[in-house]
Amino acid sequence: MARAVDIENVGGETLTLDITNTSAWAYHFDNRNDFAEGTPSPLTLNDDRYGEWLDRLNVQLFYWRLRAGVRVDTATYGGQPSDAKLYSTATKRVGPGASGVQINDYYNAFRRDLHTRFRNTYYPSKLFLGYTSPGIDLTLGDFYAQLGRGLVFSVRKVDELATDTTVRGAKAQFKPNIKDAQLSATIFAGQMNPIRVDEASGRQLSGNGSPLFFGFPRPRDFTYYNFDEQGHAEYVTERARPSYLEDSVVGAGIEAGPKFMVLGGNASWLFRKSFDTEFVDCAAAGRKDCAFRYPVFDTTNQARLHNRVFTASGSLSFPKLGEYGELYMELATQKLGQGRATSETGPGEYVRVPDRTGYAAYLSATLRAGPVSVNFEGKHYRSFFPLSGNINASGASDPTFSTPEFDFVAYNQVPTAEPIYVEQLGQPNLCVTGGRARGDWRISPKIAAYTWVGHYVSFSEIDANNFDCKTDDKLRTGTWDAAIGGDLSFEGGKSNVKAWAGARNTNRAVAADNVNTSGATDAFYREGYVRYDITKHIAGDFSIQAQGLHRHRYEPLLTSDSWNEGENYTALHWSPHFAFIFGYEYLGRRGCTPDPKTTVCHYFNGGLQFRSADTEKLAAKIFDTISLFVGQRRGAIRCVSGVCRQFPPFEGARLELVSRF
Amino acid sequence: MILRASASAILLLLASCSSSPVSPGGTTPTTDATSASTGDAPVATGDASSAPVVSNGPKAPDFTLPSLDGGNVSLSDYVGKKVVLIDFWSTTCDPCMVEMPHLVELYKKYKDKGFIVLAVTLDGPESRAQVSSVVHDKQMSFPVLLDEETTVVSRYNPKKEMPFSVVIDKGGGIVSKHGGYTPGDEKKLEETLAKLMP
Repeated sequence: MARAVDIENVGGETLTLDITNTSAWAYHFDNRNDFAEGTPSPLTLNDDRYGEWLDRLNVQLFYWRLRAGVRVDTATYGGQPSDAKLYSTATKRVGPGASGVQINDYYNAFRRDLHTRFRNTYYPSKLFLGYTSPGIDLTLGDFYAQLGRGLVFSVRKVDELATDTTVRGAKAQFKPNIKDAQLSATIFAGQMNPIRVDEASGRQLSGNGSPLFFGFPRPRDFTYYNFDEQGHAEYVTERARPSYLEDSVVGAGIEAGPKFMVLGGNASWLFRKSFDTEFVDCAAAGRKDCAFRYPVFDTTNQARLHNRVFTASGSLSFPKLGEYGELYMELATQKLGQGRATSETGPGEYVRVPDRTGYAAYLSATLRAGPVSVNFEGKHYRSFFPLSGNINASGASDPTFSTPEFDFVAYNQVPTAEPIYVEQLGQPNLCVTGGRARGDWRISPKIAAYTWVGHYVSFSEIDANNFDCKTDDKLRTGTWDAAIGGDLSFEGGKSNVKAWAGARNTNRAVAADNVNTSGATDAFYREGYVRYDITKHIAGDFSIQAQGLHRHRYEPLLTSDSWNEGENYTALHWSPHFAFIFGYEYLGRRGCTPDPKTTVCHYFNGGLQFRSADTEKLAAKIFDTISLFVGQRRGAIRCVSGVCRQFPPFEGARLELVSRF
Repeated sequence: MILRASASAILLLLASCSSSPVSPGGTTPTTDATSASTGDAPVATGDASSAPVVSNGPKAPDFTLPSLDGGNVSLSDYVGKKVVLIDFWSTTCDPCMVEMPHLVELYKKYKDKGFIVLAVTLDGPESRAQVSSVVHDKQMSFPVLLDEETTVVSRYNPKKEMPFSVVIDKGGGIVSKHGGYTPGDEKKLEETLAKLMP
């Protein structure tokens, strides 16, 4: 029987309680990312030698057509350096002969970074009440939502990026099951609820006190020891400022038509909480504490400089073109209005960031014939911005209260028509035209082959701030992306081989001079790679698996030399209980450790995984799954559909326990 | 310093596309529940040789999702009539692709006994376009439902592991949940189905 607790016959219905708890304990040693000599950023020193306990308790209750749930997230940290240790580190790093002021400034930089980092946090991250009956789904509280293919609005569970944004509000969906017809309608409203602790960095996001988010972390004052202009020591307190001003959203979508052809319409309105005019008034009046009273985040990113964003789209789809394929088209428009006030021209009159308008067109078509299917995706996006969260991601200009690790949080997700693992440079989808064709050929029941080729022309890779989509050749890059691979299955499907090789080549339309030390070049990015996943059944419940990727890369903006990097993981599986894993990663880029002479960095790790595969014993419920990781991993930018974020390298041990009741 | 590296690493290695991203090595497949073969013995109602077998499992929450072929499909369309296997998968999940041919075979073998697979894909904007090709390539002849919002998976599988299968008996009770795939898992799944459809 599945795990959950049932209470029979409560008013004639069964009450079901479902609990899933995930706990992870980790200790971080020095992850070797503090590269700069002397005084590196405190960010890369503070992430060494600390312990953490992260927990997610998910409780759901089902009764009749009703459901209720809460998820409590906790983050507990230990082993962070004391103030005395920080001061000692600062003194050592600044070096002999440094003045007390210099040492104190550097010491304060450590404390500023830690002000929003590694804070013990306990809060009810998700709450909901819901009602479901055939064709109707109502939710009050936290919910995920997507309109169309994500151009207009999309908040999904994307754990791959350590994010989990929901809308906290109300949502109604109607999906009647009508014979020979498609009808679905969605309407929702609420405030955006990004996760408040970034587990990768330990950074805490704090809101501005919206009543919807009770029990959530709040900002705190920062007090530090400073030397004034006369050299006198004094304590200074910076008043607390939030790093997130709660965004509000209203969205609606409808799809209707006979089953073979469906028309859709979607719209979302994003309302950013803003104190821009109050801040301008405050500053103009020469008052103090304006930044505290009226927080306005420092940014040049146009995606965050407007307080009202309206996005709408229309779609046409043919879900089933006979037996021969499907077709989907979506055309979206976006209006960024009520730009941020930057100065005052008179009482109640302000200079504002100008309005912007953009659009996006996306198409996907699949054709099938016998053992062959071909899919084509095309995109044409012009000044189409991500619905970025109103988050203080400024970093350097506000090291005390900013949370740059949350910079990627956005409420829509445009289709990229690219392989999902492509690492984006600049903002390629802000202003791009391109497409990809992929062919799949089922040669036999056990053998399949596939290939794809994509071509993209972007005007926002070289200059990520090309908000107006100027189509100057100096801003143009052209990319070809191609791969070929195959799948092989044997031994009754218990053994499998999947492997593919590909290349990506991005050139500038106009060669640039003196890019890094490589001189004039039209190369913007180049890569060749192989990826594989091979499983061989050994005997009985035993099988062995090898999975890896190996890349040769060249990015002149980053370094003048090309380099290799990759990884291979080998696992012995003993179904269903155990897996023993050994991993090796490497990075062949000069200076990949603090030692500039190092040309190749090696990372070794091992792991063990246990699955209980039993449900009745209490111990099996508590220890449903145990995963242990010990060793090193290199840092990485991880991307899903054009949304990328940096994960720091890791060196240490991590134990994860999943319990289910 | 910025390092650019791949996203896959150990995540896929462990035969599950579950995703706790943070974690160096922190992502693992989990088995949420055991099969009927190791859990409660299914409770027969009437003649076990012919009547549907139901367990005492918790009731499966209903949901409605759009189908790949158009229209909407509810779990309640099948509960009470068939043994249902809900399989959460995506085109970007390698273990899901390895497991899928086994589900296709099981479906062919048991469909005449009242078995249905609801293959719930979690593909989002980044990979939704590939679903139709994969369904065709893998010869998935059962309903393929689109959970682009990840609403249903968050109810059944809060950790969002993939593949993740849920077996529901003809009485609407959840018999088993299983996360991840390693060779041999299909054998245990078939044992569960065989007991539910004697």
